[in-house]
Amino acid sequence: MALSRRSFLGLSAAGTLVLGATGLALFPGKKVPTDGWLLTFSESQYSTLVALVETVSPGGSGIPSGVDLGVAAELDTLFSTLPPENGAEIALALGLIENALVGALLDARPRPFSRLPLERRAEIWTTWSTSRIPLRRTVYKGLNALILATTWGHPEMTALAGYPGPPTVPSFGSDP
Amino acid sequence: MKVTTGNQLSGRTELEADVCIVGSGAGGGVLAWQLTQAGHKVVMLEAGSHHTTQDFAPLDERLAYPALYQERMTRATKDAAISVLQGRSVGGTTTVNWTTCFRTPERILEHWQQNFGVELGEMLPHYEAVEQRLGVAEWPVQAANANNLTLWKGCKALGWQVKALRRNVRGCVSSGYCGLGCAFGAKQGMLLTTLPDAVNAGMELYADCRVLKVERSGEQWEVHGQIQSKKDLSPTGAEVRVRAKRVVLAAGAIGSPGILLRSEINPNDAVGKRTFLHPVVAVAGRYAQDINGWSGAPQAVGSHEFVDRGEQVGFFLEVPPMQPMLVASGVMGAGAMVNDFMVQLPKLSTHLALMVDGLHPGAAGGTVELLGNGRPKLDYPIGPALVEAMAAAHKAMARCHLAAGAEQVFTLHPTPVSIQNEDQLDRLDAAAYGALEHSIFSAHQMGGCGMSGEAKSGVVDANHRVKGQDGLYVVDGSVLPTSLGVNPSQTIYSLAHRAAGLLAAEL
Repeated sequence: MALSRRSFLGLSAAGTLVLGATGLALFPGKKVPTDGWLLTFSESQYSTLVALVETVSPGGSGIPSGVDLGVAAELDTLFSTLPPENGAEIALALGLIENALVGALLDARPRPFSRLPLERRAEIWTTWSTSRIPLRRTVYKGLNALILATTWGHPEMTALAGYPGPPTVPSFGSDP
Repeated sequence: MKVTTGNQLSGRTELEADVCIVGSGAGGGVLAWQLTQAGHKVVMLEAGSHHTTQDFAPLDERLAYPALYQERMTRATKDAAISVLQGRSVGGTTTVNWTTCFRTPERILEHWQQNFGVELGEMLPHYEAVEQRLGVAEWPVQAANANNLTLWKGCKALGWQVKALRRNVRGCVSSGYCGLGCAFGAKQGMLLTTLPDAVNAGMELYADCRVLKVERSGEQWEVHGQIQSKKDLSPTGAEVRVRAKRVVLAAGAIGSPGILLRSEINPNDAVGKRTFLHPVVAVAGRYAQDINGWSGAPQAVGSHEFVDRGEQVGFFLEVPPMQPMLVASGVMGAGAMVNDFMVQLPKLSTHLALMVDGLHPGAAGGTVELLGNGRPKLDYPIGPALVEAMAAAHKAMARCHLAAGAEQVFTLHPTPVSIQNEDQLDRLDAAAYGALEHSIFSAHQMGGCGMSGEAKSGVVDANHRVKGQDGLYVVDGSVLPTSLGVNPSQTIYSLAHRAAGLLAAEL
């Protein structure tokens, strides 16, 4: 049977999962302490997410970073309000990003994503946006949009964007 | 309007009705209105929660999107290439849509007749009835916001067709926040029109109730509803069972196929197949003057200059609202370049091109499948014909922005293509188009339970009857055999109005 692009997505996910488990065991990532308040992700997944948030929304020039704004915690909360399978997909994606063994094979970076300096993380994340591996572009598209939308929903950020906020709504009677 | 919400229920609630309608959006809402006016006993089950006009008042994207959209606004196609914006609350997508209304194009009706054997008969009375009830009227160009006017001016300068759109509003204050639920009580969605009409005429409406399956039970149908927590969508343990002579699925182009598949009902093996999205690509322009695209009726003008491109996939042009979260979600880049883009927000205008999918030979669209947890997921491959159309649409939108006076034009690629004059348009030729190459959206989900006049194809017949399943109907956007080339809400309203008469005659 010919291997279609879409079945390849599934196979590459399974294969990377196996590699992922190995890589995570051999090369543990940086841990962001959370005191156990996480609702969706494990501490290691959350730490990867924090590193990714800093990569996607780094701030600078008077603009706060996504880390300053607590974007990773908001996403942890958001996925706790969805069926567990939705959060599990994100957790899998974070594992793929973090994995040092896969990184060594494909990106020449034998260190977990969360342990890389910001500049290197930014380089790697950019390559994922146009990767020849469809699964990487899927992960990029999904997570990048989530982080950007959450970052730019903050009043601090919308003000910097020149958005005055919504209009005042007069009080109405009850709906019919 | 009396709505029974999930937190009011425990154990099993058993109900009986002439008709059980699953879903309270454009199809279910109009159908319920008409059936209750005719004196039939209707029970409606809606998976989303009930939010009132007062609840929308914060107009805060961070609150509205998770509360009012499917999967907390994270719904996407299987490969994440297309973000799927679809409502999930009482009123369905009509609670959050941008109010644009079109009658079904004649060429589409002819295409359905010729290619699918679908003969709908005279639609004019149905168009007129819903237009009157929902206040559908042209929004004057003079009232269009600056974001719409860039599309208007660009099209006019290029000699392209462009016209004012019609909207279902009454007393609209032009706030621009239709997508967050209308806090001004102006949008004439199902929430404020047909649903109160139906409830006042005796319909029982249950919110937070996800229908797992339907099954035949003697001469009747039984609908299995599961109450979900508003907080995390988990089952609360409460159930609703409805026994009805007729069951109508109106859960939308992803939801209705999902229910049929869970119910192991799959006529002609066509359920979930031929799902169409009007896949949307966008190009932004930066202007010298303030645009402030978050304010003003989101969609006031549109162009059908390219809707019929012969052998190639057509597209039509509109604009979106420009609230910051929505804009940011469409940016494909990362890092400092996003900051540079977003701080220009007041001067940005965005044009949209909606691909008219499903009309050409071999245009199979997407497929709704069930995940292991029984929830539906849409797989939507983007083939070469759509890729060509997306490339052409990028060039058209860039030209339109430049003709309207944009200083700079940006695509939504990870590294945006930037253009400042016509001579630079060929930069677009070097860019990649298609799945995961740039941002793609869908706000129009159609098909998946396609209508066909032929016994051995399609899911429903021209009277909305599920083939081989007496007493089971589908009345929503999922029955459309192809996409429309126009915003679909009024087509769904009008089909539902037509279906009500057909269904009542069979009761």
